[in-house]
Amino acid sequence: MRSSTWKNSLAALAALALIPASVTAHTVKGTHTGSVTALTHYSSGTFHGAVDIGAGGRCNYWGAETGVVGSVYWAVTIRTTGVVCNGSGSGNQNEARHAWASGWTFRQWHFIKTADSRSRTCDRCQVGNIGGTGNSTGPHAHLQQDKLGTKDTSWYKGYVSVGTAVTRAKTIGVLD
Amino acid sequence: MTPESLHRSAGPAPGRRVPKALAWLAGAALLVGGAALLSSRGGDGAASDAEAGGTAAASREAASGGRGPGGRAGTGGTHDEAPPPPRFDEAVCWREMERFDAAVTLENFRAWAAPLLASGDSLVADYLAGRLTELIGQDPGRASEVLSWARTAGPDEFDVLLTALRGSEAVHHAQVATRLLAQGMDATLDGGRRAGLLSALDTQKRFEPAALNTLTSFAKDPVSGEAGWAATRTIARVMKRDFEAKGNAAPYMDALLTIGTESPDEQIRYLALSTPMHATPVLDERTRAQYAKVLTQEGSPDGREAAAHNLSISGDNQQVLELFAQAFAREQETCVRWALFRFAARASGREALPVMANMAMADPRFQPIYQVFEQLYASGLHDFVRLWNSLPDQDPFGCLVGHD
Amino acid sequence: MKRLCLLLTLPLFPLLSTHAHAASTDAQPALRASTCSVRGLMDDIRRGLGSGSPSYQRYLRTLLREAAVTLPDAELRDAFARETEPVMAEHLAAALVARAEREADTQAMNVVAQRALHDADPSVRAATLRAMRRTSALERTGDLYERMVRDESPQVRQEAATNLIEDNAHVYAGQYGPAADTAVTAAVASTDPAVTARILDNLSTEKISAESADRITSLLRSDDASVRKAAVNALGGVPAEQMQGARESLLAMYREETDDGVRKALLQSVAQLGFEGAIPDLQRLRAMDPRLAREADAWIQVLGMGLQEWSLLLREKQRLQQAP
Repeated sequence: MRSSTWKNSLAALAALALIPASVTAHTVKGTHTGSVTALTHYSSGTFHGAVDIGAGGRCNYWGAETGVVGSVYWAVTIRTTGVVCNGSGSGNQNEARHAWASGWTFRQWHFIKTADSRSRTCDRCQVGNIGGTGNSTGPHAHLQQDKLGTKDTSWYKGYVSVGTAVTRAKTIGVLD
Repeated sequence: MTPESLHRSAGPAPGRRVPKALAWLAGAALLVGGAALLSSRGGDGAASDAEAGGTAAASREAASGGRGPGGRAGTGGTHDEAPPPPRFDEAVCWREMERFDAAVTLENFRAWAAPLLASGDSLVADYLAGRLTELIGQDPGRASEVLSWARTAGPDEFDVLLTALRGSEAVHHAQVATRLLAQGMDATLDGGRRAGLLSALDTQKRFEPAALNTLTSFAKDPVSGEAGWAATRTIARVMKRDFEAKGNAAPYMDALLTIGTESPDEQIRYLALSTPMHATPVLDERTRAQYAKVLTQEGSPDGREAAAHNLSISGDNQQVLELFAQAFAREQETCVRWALFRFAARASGREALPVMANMAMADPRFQPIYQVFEQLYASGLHDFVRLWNSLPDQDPFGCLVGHD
Repeated sequence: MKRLCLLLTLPLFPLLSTHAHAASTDAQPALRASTCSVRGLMDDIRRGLGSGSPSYQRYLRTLLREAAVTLPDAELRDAFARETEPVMAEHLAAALVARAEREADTQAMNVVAQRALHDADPSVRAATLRAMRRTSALERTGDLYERMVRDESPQVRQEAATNLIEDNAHVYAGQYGPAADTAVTAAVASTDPAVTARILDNLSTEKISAESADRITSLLRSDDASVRKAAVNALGGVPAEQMQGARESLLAMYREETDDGVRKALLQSVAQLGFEGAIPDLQRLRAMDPRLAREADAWIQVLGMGLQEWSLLLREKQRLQQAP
């Protein structure tokens, strides 16, 4: 059993930024300026099943923007207050969560609480600042789609790879 | 969790082209309105290449977005005292775009699109893909010509060409689909390009057995890499479409199970084992037996969790409950146990409660969450999705968080 | 300095691709990046309406919405206030709504809502309502929808209904009670049975309040069969606390109901409220009306599969009935 690490150089050509195929599909864009630091597996081989976008060590600088393009309702849960850049313990991450139909959920984690950290409907709005609340060793955003708790790894790969530079204009994946 | 050390060790990110559209904009502004904009950017050269994919400073100064008005409030101080960057990107408007749209043809598309693609404007790239789809139309000859361009196109153009093909009517023509598949199988092309080609097959309405076999054999090949991953996702996406339209899932489920059990690549196996959750077919007896094997034989805990997920939509609830009970007793991984526990409820509803109670007896960590399930069922809930959305904590064992 | 040079050398004249495939008789357009303006964008959109390319029209619409956050606010509002052509008013309204949704201007939605309420032209009212579709409008516009479903124009009423349905389905996925309650309030407030029925037929009531459930229950006595049917459908999905009451209301209604469509809906909602536990109820109802025996049998068979998600049960029922 091995965990593959595909070459970044190949990924650029595989970055087929597919236009959503259905009217209910949503594109996901970068949450801040940074770079992808983890995808399905960490470099150690441990399963991750999500996209991590690092912030180059900058903490509490970038606004944490919701990545889903289009207006959806975000339930914001604050578990850690104060400026935390390097972790506040597993399970204590601040979270913005959107529940789709049929048990599908999109989650964004680890941001620092600000006055913007409240539940509401918006299109790519800010729910905090990029930080490292929860299980984190540095400021980053964690973007995850799951169904009933089972992580989906099909929405992002092929669009980005570890090391890919990210901006808010960059498509990370498509939720269909 | 992202160890920043990993990020730093990843080295300078490829494609430092973020501000291209804005650079175009700035270029135009310079020439029409003087050099004021550029002179204000004298500090750009100070940007560190090691910083945030090498783009942070440039993007900040080029208005690539930052904190909103509330960014500082409520934080009790800021770690990074640099002034917040502007909140929004400036969109780019293109002069002569109307004429481009009216006069572009398949013959001049590549030449005319090149400067737009070079700008890095993502809105315009989406437009180019859509316009090329229109130019291809239903004509397999035109689609084949675009496909031939894809052999040598650079990354941005390749992206547009394949997105256009994927969305075209012509891609459903047997001749085009066959050629697309053949090109995706071409071992002389690099893996990334093959992955893009195989991904463009994912709008197919169905796969005939021969195509499905080709994709399956390729995906489980130890050297298929990223292209094998793309082939697997394509099978899953076509399955969803064929299943929703015609109720046909069996051959795709066989293919995904073959890949999910035979690929040596953990990422590909997980993808193959987890993607049936998109279509959610009710398992027949044979498929159920195969996933039952995965539940006991798959080495990756995440693969076993995915198997439990699929097994929870089954034609024989009692058998699945027994299977989950046995698997729970054997299973050492907490997260797989949590999957078996919650998917027992998805398989049998409140009738699973005795089995779940036994699980909680065997592993007392499950007693609090068992009580939550019991209360929710007592409240009158039946629908598992509603129940899931009613859980006060959807991650009671930290399984979504993951650990490195 | 290096970057400055790059900017200076950026082509005013388009690059010729090394991949140029065939020469065109038309000269290549001199594409140039420029700053977006309200007037320029609106001119482009106006002319783009005549384009034969849906991709181009989509591009212009998207560009306007994306550019809206940095366009001059006053200019945008003025242009919207002046515009009387419905299709252009809709574009400008969408730009203002985009400013609200991106939180560049949280008050922009009100401007659009006021126009939807007060414009003299029903086509403009309808157009501005469309611009608010699949947005945060339900959280920002107070009793707007309660008023719009009573608009004198049937088209406006239907657009309002569509917003309520699509917002609840696609913005909230049925998970936000206040949005569903707003839809129920509007459905009940409407005097147009087509609007009431359409909203309730397409609304997830999973998170509605007890008061909303009561309001829906009161519609079971409507003279209009389409309204009764929609109310029955809506009651099938109520929160756990309301399920027992809803089940009793529906079972009591079945005997007196004369409309076949409503009776079919009753069977479905009884199934939804009870899953496998509803089979005895369905067997009793089957005996009351032999004409619907096949429908009742289909539900009994599907519920017997033991699936634990309503969407899957609905899907399997459809499959069963489509089977040759």
